[in-house]
Amino acid sequence: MNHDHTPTQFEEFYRQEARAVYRFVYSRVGNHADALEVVQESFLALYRLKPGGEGGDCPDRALLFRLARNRAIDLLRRRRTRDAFGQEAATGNVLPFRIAEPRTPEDALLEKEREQLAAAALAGLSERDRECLALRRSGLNYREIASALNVNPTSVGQLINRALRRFADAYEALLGKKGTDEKAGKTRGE
Amino acid sequence: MKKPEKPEESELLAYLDEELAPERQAEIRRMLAASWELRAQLARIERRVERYIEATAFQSSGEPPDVDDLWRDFSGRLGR
Repeated sequence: MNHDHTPTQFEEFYRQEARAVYRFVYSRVGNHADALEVVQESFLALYRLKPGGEGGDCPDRALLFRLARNRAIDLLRRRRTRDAFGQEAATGNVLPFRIAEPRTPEDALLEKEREQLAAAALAGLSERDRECLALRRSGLNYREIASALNVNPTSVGQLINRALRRFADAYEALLGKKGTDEKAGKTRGE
Repeated sequence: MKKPEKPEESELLAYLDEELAPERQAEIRRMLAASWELRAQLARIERRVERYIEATAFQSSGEPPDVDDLWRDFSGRLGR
């Protein structure tokens, strides 16, 4: 789809992509209200683009994710500035991720531990690594990811592979450390 | 006949993602059929993908709203 779309085409495109872009943005901003705002602003910006405007020949899907990514970055930047001044975040849920409803107390504990490990492993990655993984997970192909991140398409495979390996290494290391700590705790009779 | 070049890890990931040119995709498929080592390498990459998906599954518990609701909200903004 190019930029000179009809309203019907745009609605079709919106319905096709809205949930995927929401998931991507949610993984970056961590709460519903901000994710919704970023998604709708990005679609609005895309809708208002004139043919031949921003994005050039970029397919709409990649451009949509690029617009969403840039808006998410702006939002995170504003949030950091606001937090630096000690102000409360504007929305209620500012946890990095929403925690799923637990089934049993044991499940809840295990789930919480896994989430903490994964969040720590993700936090150790660069912004670029996290974005690469989140975009791929959102279903974008390498060409679209290259366009969204403004990088050379030939480098995308390496970027994703490196990010994946860094995540797996960090996660395994944290898992190993947790196991060692638990063993030491048992030995001490804790 | 020239021996096909052994794929690097990132090329194997691209193979899994079906991002390679059809000829190279087919070439790697043949190499995988012939080499246990390469298959083990591919399995390691798949395990990393699984690990990432499993470990970050909680991120998708931020289930997107219904697309009709999203569109209604968006149409309202368009009209403003």
